[in-house]
Amino acid sequence: MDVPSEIIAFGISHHVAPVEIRERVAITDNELPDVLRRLAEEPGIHEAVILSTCNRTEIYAFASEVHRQRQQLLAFLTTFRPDVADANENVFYFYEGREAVTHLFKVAAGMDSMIIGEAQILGQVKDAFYQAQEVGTAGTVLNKLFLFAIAAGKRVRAETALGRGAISVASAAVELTQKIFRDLTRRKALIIGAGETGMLVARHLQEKNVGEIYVTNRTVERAEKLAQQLRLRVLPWESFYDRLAEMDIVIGATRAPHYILTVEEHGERISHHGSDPRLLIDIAVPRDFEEGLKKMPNVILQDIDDLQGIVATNLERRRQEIPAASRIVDEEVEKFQQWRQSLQVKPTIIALQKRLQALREAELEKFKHRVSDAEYAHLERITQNLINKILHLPLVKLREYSNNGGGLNLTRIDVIKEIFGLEDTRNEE
Amino acid sequence: MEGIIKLLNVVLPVLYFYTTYLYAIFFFREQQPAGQKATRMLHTTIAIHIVEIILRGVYYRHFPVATVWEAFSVIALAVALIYAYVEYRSGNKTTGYYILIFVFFIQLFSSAFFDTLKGEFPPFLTSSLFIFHVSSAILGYSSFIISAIYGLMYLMLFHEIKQSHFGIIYRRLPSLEELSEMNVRAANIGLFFLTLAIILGLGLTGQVYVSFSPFDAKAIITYIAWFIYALVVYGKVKARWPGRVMALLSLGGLAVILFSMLVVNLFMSNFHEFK
Repeated sequence: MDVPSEIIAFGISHHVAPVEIRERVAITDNELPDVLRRLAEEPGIHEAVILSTCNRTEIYAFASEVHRQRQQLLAFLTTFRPDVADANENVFYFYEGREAVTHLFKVAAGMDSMIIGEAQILGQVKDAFYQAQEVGTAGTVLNKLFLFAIAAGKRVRAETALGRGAISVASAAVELTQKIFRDLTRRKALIIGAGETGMLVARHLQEKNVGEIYVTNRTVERAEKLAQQLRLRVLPWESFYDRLAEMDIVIGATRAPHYILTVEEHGERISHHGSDPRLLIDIAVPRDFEEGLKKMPNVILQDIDDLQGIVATNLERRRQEIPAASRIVDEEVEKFQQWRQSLQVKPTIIALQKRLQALREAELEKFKHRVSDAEYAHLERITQNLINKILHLPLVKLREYSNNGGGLNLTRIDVIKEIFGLEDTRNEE
Repeated sequence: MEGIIKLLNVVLPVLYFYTTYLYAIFFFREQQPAGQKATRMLHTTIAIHIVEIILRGVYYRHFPVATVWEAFSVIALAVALIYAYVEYRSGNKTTGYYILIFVFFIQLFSSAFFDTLKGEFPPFLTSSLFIFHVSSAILGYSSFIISAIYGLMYLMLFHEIKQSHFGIIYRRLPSLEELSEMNVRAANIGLFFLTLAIILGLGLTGQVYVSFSPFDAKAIITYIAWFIYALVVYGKVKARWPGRVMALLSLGGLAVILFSMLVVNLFMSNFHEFK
């Protein structure tokens, strides 16, 4: 009888290992095909997929001799990443069976990510799967496992708010912009200050197709450099105040020790903006826009604390979605387990039918030349009916086990196999 | 058939309540499947409501707006229909809760005070000019109601952002620009239909409203509502007033309409009395 095989997950992630260790283990895209091929040649490894991102390196495998796989996989990693040997063995985790499946589904859903609900990981899971398919190390079980994982990830994103809402100050600024203006392609934005923060916001605004983005800076060379990098337009520092009235979005991102816009000097120019409010976003510390501008009737002014408030609210909301996401993951894990169960039950049913048919035919053979043709046909009918009646209840029960899943049922299937002397039929499909 | 009409009359507010509840779940709990369910429920409710209106028309042999409460039901249906169309076009379901809660209350009042004209009634109630007049007025008022609800949502979101409250209203409502556009677009459509209703109404005065006076309370209220929503459109198109001014104006217009529908229709003698 073959040794049973199981799904396993072995790896390292941001939860247990600092970046110094993670970077030692990480596998680059170029290395991956070769590593996968070598991994598939390891004893007991039938199928394998490797997921390697900046936050995790994980091996998913369908393997036999599960009890020795943790050490074997660690040794495998050490052969081409000798530095790994220096790392504490405990930073690696090892899951098997349902735990491994649940872990992968949570990873795909973004529940295990450093920033909960981040969307990139689902794409990375897909890439890891496709690469393993290309190399040929993903077979029946891992193919299905990853398809289920991707589906679980998509479901969590569609049915919960786990991935919703901005989670950085720059993206919160853009989210706010989209709450004021529907069509950003018709809008003009001015970024005051050409530093790191200004550049980040400019990038986000560009991604959202803001019609015209201007940048101004006291040192014009810096503004020009940024404008060149991101294809923005430059406004000279001396004259940007004159163009203020036409800007829908004004972002303060300087390091100036004083206000750039004040109620007294610029209030009048800022408050008139037609039907839509003018949006001022102040991400500078010290602040660029005087707080009094907030009170102007058609002006919306938000500072860095407000934006951080958006981020904090969104993160909290994502955390609150974890129970709902876990329920979806559990449902998908259950579906996958049922599929695996059906893989085991179907061959057992066929084997059971074959076994009894073989017994029947062997017994009939003994009588073939002792009775007339009519009597033989009669015997055939009787024995077939008998076999059908004997098989009826076991087959019904086996199908029930297949639908219900669960470890206890697996044991029952094993008992049936043993009683009827069936060969191990696991994962023959 | 009257039994069926009466049964549907009871069922309709229940259906609108359940639809509103589903939209509330979608809005507050952010559950995508609830949104799909809400839309299906809305379509079913609208279909049943149309059947009820047709049955009423056929059984009582007049366009079912002979009483205030009958008109309420037709307005509820018109608002629900317009919203269903807006949702279909925009794909946005987050405003459904605010519109449908209004629809529910209008239908609830209509069902609670269910009455109609029976037996002898003036023949003009079946004339096509009268039906066009009333249909236009109902579409006009329904559009104004929708305009006001979008105005309300605009003010809520504007207030939340201005106060740096980034809760459910901030997350779920569409952008201020979109809400303002809907606010004005609905006012524009309402203006068109109410203008048509006024013109058709003037055409009817000779035949129907024997005692018509230009100073009739209902007529005056209608002119005021018309004027307010005309200001909304003017404010957006010509004067470029801030969005919240238009939102406030449309809410003022709604107050006038409600006053017209309830107080004037019920308590003040006017030329729209058919009994």
